[in-house]
Amino acid sequence: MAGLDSDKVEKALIKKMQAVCRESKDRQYIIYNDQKKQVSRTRLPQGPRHSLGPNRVSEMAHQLGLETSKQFRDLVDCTLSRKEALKIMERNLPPGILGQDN
Amino acid sequence: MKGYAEMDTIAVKANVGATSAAPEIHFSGLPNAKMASEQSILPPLTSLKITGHLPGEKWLTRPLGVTIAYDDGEVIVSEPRFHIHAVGSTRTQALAEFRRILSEELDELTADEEELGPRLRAELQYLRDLIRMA
Repeated sequence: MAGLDSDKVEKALIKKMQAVCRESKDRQYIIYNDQKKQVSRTRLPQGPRHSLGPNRVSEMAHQLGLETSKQFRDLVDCTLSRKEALKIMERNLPPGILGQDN
Repeated sequence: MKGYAEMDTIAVKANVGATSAAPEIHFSGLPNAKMASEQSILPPLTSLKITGHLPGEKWLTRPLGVTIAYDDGEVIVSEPRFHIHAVGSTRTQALAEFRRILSEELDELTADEEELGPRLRAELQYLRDLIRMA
């Protein structure tokens, strides 16, 4: 499976998911829901545009709370909306986590 | 020294027995020697347990199993529960980055504790159980 361009990923996180970007050694992207709660986070290293390989895409997808790499690709390719993505992220909790209080 | 030093590469013959043909291990003196030696000597591990020190005067309270994956020119180290991960051009570099990110993640989630949703609250609790200040 092909990789994803880091610029496109960043654009999807910032513009579509309205992620807040914090800069340190890495760029950290924090996704909030409409109740201003942090839903998930991921990071990209500082630096020029580069290709993210399939294993890295998979890790980022799961870190964000998506269920598959394909959902992450769909998010970047604009076929998955912010609303749908948030719905997946908020229902896809690791085993043993309760708390639908948001 | 013919056969032992030639250009930027040194071949070392491992003494594994009188009768067998001794395998050769090649070390490179080039700037990317660390990567070259790592690739030629170590098999591509896919999992590992890490222990001990983290940056920021922190320690792991127990061995943490991590997975290691390889994309083209990149090594990705990740933990399986929340997929906290790091990338490097070598396994050593990716593991060092992973330790840094693990430590920073605890600090950053702690600072934002009041606004965390369920997933990130659980991640913070997981990291608090996993990491102690030295």
